[in-house]
Amino acid sequence: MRAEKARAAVAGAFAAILLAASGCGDREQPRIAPGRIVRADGRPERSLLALVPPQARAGEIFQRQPDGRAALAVLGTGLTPGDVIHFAGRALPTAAANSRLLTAAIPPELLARAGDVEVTVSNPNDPSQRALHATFRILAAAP
Amino acid sequence: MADSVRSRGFLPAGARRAAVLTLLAGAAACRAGPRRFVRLPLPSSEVERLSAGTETRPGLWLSPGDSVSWDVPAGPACRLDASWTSVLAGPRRSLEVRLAARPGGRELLRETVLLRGDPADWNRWSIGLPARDAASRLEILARDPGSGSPEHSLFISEPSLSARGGAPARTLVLLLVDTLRADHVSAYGYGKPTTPRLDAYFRDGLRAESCFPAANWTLPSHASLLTSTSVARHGVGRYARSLPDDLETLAATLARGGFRTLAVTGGGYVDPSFGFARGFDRFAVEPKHAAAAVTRALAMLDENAGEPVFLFLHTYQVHDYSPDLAAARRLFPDLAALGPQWEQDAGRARERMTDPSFMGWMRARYDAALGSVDDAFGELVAGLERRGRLGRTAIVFTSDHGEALCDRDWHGQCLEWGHGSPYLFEEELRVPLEVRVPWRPNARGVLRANASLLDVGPTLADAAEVAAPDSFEGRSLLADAPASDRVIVTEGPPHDALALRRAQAKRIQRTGGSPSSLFDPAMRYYRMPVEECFDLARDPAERHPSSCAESGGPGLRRATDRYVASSFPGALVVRVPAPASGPAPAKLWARGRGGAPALRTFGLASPPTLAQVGAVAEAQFSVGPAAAWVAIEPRDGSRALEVTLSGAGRAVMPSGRPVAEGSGKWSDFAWAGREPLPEGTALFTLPPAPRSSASASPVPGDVAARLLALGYLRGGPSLSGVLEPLPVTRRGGESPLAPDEIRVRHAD
Repeated sequence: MRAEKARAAVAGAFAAILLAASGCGDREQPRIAPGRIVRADGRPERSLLALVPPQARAGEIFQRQPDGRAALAVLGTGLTPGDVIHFAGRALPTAAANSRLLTAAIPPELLARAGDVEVTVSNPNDPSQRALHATFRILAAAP
Repeated sequence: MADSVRSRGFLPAGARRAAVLTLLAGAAACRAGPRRFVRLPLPSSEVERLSAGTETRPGLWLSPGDSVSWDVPAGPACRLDASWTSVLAGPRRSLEVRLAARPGGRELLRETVLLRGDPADWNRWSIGLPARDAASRLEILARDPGSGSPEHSLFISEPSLSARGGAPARTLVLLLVDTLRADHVSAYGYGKPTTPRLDAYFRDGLRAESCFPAANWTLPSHASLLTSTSVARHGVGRYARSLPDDLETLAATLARGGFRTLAVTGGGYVDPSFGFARGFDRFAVEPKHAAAAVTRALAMLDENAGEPVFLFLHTYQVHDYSPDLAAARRLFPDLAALGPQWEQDAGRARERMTDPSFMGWMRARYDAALGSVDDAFGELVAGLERRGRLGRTAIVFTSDHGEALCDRDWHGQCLEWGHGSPYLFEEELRVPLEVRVPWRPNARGVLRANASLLDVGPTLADAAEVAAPDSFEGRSLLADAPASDRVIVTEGPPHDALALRRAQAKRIQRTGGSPSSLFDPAMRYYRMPVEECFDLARDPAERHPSSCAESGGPGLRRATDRYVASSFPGALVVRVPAPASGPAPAKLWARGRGGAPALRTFGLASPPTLAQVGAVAEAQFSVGPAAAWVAIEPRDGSRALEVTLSGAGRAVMPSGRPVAEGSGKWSDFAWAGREPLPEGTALFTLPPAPRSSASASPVPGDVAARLLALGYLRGGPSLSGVLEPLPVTRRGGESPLAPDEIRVRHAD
């Protein structure tokens, strides 16, 4: 029992040291400086990071647009204004918000059946931009 | 033995079970114990906000081989926590965590963390770190699964170090019940027991008798509430759709003070797409009823057990007139009072608007929905108690604006059902504001002086003992009572309507136009008087306008000028009075030294025509029946402008001196705001302030759908009266203007 109390006291003292040093608590305290990022050498400038949403149920119109189509967002790096999103092989009118975000509207018929769909981003006007690939999963419709 | 225990029991079995459960929960809370954390900040240039599942969090993408590192001080063993998502499925991601002493680099830890969970949602991971007897470097490295493909990137969020210990953590809760007018809360004198749980909790707190928002609908009101700045300062709802990035949010203030910042909102206009996630570690959208929001919030508290937390809890349940059965039955034993199909949303109910009982049903649903929120509040308090947090929890309860419930007739018609109108009567403006801070026992009773929702931020910062930023315009209500001569402004953007009050005097200013509704572009508001004044002490229901030339009227008129002018820092402003002979056309051309300036208007009854022709910005508008304002802001780094006015009469400077035809200096037109603006067309300059820039990105489809479900227009109202100039490349030749030259010409 005494040993437990002693351990608790030591833990409390350590915690107090940590809090004092690193600034945890209700009041403003000195904080740790922002971290430094080191990007891997040789990493391609152009990459595909995420599809939003990454999946949907068959027949589900996510991010429904006024014309009834679903809106897919592609997050990446080094994306270019001429990039086109291909969904199940069909080129979709694509909007490039910035070098990290593309969006495109998907017609409902392309979302009707369950299965994995190939999503490709390519720039037909600039073949030097490598094509990017991802898979969009269409799950079976909800029972 | 069991029998003997039972025989000695002095509580009924149910109560005993409850007591045991409470003890177990309390024991669990004690086991969790206080936990303090320190953020491992991410470099701001790389931070993004990502939505996964139903939550948005700030964080950083790491591709295979990328790493992020921090210098951490010496300290005892602690825990590194973070969350991750990859949105895209793919191979199992993993991280390597390294801890090495500096200088010298003796490695204290190198461990691989296999990330588990649904890649499309947020998942937590943590790892124990050993004690450090000197400053060390902590590094998180995204491991390469073999292919080196950036498609295997992952997003990490909320990295922090934590340890048990310290004083028990404080919890701050901001409960915002959207669209709740004060006079339907029992504590504010309502005849029905709509809010017994809220009333009981805040009995030992502080109740602001008269509290007003900075704007009368959700988007601009939240922009003000969460930054403690007026619409004139942030411009949201008037000239912008999302929060300017130069304003510190309340969440950021409290995060700076060591609080974990969590939000559960009903979405719609209280959504990350409008900039409201800034400063929050976690921002969840829960569109269901308040009870679901409370459940979600309590789950978040469990995930941050023992930590100091700021929780922003927002619900649309009252806005939606959507009660739960239990509260409906409690308040209206005969459910027929709620009308037919009351479980459906209010939008569907509009189909029966012609029924003479319709507004009675709606009022009953509104009250029952409030009763449901009150039930959910009871669950929140009980949940805080079970977690051992309640004694160290401060709660602020308020709303973003009120709701007109056909309180007044207009030529035999209901003037208004809803909010966001240019009318600005009390039913749309007066909101509840109650505060309870257990560690500030003197902050209790009834506050009679006018309070503003701009005070919420400073009050919570005060409760947290964190310094509020200079940009906060409100004041803490935990300190002394606000001055009785304080002017409180509520705006009805984008209608350019204002309500100002000082003590019991109120002045409403409108454009005299008939703008479209926020909810239906085909519906237009009634044309109302340009100016109305009320003595609320004698006429709290605002049925008998008083003369604006008497009592508080002239002072509030001057305050109106100061408020509108404060919208345009760093601009040359033209205020054109309403012509006595009725609306008249006017025109303004403006050219900067290195390109066209930006134009912003205020007070026009109909939208202006704004255009840019090369380096010239042009505004054509009709002045009257209210005063018109045009702000001309140089965007070329100089304070040089060449302005031509037509149809506005001869302009005068703030001193009252006529503006000479030709050149002057920027400083000649300086107005400090202390003296009244002269009669007639006034031309003046205001000192610059930090430039705000707001995102112009479109509203995402799901948010737009939610706005429609809430009854708003898809994507919000059309904003007008602002021209952001395109850059113009000057082809040869020097500008004829000196860097701070103002050149004015009258073209009448």
